[in-house]
Amino acid sequence: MNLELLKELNLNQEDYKKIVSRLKREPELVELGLFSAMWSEHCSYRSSSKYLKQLFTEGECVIQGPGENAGVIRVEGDTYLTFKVESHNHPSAVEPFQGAATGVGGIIRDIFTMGARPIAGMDALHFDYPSSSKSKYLLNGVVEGISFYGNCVGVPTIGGETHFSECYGENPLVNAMAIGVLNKKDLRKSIAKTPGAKVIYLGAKTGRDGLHGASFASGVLDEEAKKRKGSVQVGDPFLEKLLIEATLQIIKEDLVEAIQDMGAAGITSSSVEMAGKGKLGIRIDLEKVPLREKNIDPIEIMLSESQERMLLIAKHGKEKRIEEILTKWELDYSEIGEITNTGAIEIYSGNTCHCNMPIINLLDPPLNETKPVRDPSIKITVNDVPDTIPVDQTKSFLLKLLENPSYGSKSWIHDQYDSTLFASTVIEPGIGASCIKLAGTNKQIGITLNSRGLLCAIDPYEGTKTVCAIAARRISALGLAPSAVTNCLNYGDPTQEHTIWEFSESIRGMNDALSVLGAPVVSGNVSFYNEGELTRIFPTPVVGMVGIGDTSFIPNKGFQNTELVCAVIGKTKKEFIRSDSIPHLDITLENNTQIEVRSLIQNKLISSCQSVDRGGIWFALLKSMMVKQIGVHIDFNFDDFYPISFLMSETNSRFLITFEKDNFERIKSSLKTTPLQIIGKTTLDEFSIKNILNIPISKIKQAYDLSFSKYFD
Amino acid sequence: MLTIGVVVFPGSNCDLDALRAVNEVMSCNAVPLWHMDTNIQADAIVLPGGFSYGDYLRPGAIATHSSIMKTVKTFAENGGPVIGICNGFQILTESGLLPGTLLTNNSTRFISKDISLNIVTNRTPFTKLFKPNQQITMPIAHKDGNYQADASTLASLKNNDQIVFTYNNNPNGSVENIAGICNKEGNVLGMMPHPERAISKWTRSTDGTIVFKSLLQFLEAK
Repeated sequence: MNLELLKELNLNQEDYKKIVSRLKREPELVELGLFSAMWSEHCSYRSSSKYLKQLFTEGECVIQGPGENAGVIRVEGDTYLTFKVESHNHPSAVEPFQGAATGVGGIIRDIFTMGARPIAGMDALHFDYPSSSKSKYLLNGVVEGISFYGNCVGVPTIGGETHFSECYGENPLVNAMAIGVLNKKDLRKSIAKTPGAKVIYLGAKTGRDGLHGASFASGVLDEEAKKRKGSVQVGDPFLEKLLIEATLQIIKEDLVEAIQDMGAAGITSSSVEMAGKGKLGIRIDLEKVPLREKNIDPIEIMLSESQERMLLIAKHGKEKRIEEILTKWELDYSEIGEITNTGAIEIYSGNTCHCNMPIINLLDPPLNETKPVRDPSIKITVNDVPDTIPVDQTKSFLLKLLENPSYGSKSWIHDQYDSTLFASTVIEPGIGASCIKLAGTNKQIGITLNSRGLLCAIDPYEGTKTVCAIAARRISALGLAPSAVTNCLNYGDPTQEHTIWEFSESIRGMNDALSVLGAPVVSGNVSFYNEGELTRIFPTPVVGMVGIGDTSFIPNKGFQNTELVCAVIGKTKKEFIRSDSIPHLDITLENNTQIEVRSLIQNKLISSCQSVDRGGIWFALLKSMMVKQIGVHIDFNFDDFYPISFLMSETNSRFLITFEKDNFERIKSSLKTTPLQIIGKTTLDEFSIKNILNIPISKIKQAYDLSFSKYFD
Repeated sequence: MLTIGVVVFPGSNCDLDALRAVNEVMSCNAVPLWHMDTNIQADAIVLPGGFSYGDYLRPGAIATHSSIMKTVKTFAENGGPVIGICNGFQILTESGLLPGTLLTNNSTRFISKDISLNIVTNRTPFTKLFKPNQQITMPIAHKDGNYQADASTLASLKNNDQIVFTYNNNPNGSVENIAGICNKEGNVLGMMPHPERAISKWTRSTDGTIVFKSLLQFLEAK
């Protein structure tokens, strides 16, 4: 066998032997292409499936768990919510604008493919610090790409997260999440049902862009890989908007039995998955596929990842009505084949056969059997633990911290995203979790996208548990109960034992946290090979959590008024992120605290609530102050804490709240499992600590606004 | 019952919000009008925001040549109330129903945020219930909202009381802080801010309701 070709297709010699033994003959070129795509890490989960099977996925609200285009949960009655997060890391590293734009387009297609109208998006971004000119270039392109695509396609981007660390310099992470709402009767799956049913291709013409995208995402990002610029697709949000409207109309009129978007591995994965899930076969005539240019080889057609394409399986007799709808929306379409009862995938160009083999050959790829073993030589060093800053350096420390872009306002990013479309955004980006009111219902939905790569690098089990706890804490700070989770699991090279160890520990941590918090995983994505030539990323599981609540109260962000009591729920300990350990998490205490806090909000006993997590009480105070530029006066006994170590402690299971002092007794008596510590009161125009410092709010605001945006304006 | 038509171009994306605002605030019959339609049976017309035909040439440029815009022109010339919001405003300037033009924001970036506005005149069907100089808040979300016009056009806008909304903190570089203008007759209004996104206590501002209530009162008094 031609080794060069195998390498280009990201297959190894073991894979090839397996292919020959399954086929009992040498594969045709097109067949080999199909194996390359379907057995790629991206499509087959060959390194992760063993661990993903252990995920906590059961829950009362779950309608559709992992395995479909997106997970589905029940909101109330026949109203369902569907959501998923997916990575577009490698394309964004090579071509940030189109890489990010098509990431947004891809995740939105996963949502409307389920029969849902996409109502919101979020993005998790991990980059090197913006002081690096390369990082600045990438970040600028990625944000512009998300803005370009999301705004035009008509899906509000309502939040997300941005983290900086050198480890993401060569391989930034761009994870996009989308959420949609649907009625029970419109839920569609990607399972073919009827032999003889027509297969309809819909949307953009097929070109050479995105060739080998799935295998591109399934290798380390070295110089050679970066030359594969052709692997990055080009997005057309206007075309996707037409696809949304046409597809939703087709589903509403019940004209299709199955539907799948053409994402990674294009026609190959969509046709194999739909026929395979239905234990049926499929026959495709490549001469019927709309092409952008002449002389595209059959293997290129099968592997193209041109964007904005869908594959529908029509219900018998409904083909004409489908055509009418597609004509109304001026979309290209073509009947390219039909479902068969042979169990085979048959690919022809007219009468020439390129492939005829049982689909089952393509399923169950050979698994990556790398053992999970920790490599003790991989160490994380944390400098600058803020546990010994003397009192007289309190002010200078905080002023310095205000210049750190990690803790600065990200409005430069989210002001470029249309966040108010659909007139439902209750809590906008920038506060940790966002909230939308679900039109036509008495429900509101809290959504957050969270990660802490550093914590997971130090301890992937405890770190991942903490990420889940923080996501839930942020949802609870809206007064909403966590319902379900989608995850994007970003790791390094899965042929390394240490990577598999990190991955398996993360899965274990996720299970132990989510099973207590009552939020099952309903969808997700794994992204391996996030390594450059010099650096590997922190293991970075990104958790997208959704919480549902009724509309008897409106959650607030930030300090609402002066003269309110400011207090911390939960005991603050001298806990910091250190090279060898992270703050302890008692997940049961965490859950009980969250339940009590939600009830305080639902009973309207408190004025504002903020999760205390990254950056401790200080960052919670900062975010709360900046919303309406209301200050706070800290006045309490720090005991044996330095002020900075109290403000920067990252002890888990804490919230920062404000309330009218008349409510003190009721709040105190409602908190059964955790202490309430009053630390001060809100004030008009400065942040002050009694006898130690005062800084005008205007000065804080200026530093907060500039610390990140100064790199761009 | 009064009927309000909301024009849907391929690529419109604020059409659902406009239909909902008409339903909820005005309790009127809200009907989507397809871009290929040539017959309008409505008492007022909304040109909603979005990216009509992808706005790939220039915002609003392609929509100007759609079948329905010929009909909207006739409707407006006969005195029918027409409001263009965001992309709708861009379509109104491109088609000559309103003077001037909307260029790319001076930051060259898309801007999405709540913004404070000043009411300059309440003489239009859409602003009757505001008070002159009233300060209101609505979201903006656009990349091409930088209103520009030549000196004589600006003079005539002022002389004819055609400047309707101005920004208190100019976000995009618009001349004279202009956020919205009307035609001489006052029946055609274009504005960059989104009143249809400021109609409920859930979205921080309810000032947008006044636009729709004004129109309702105007139509009922006719």
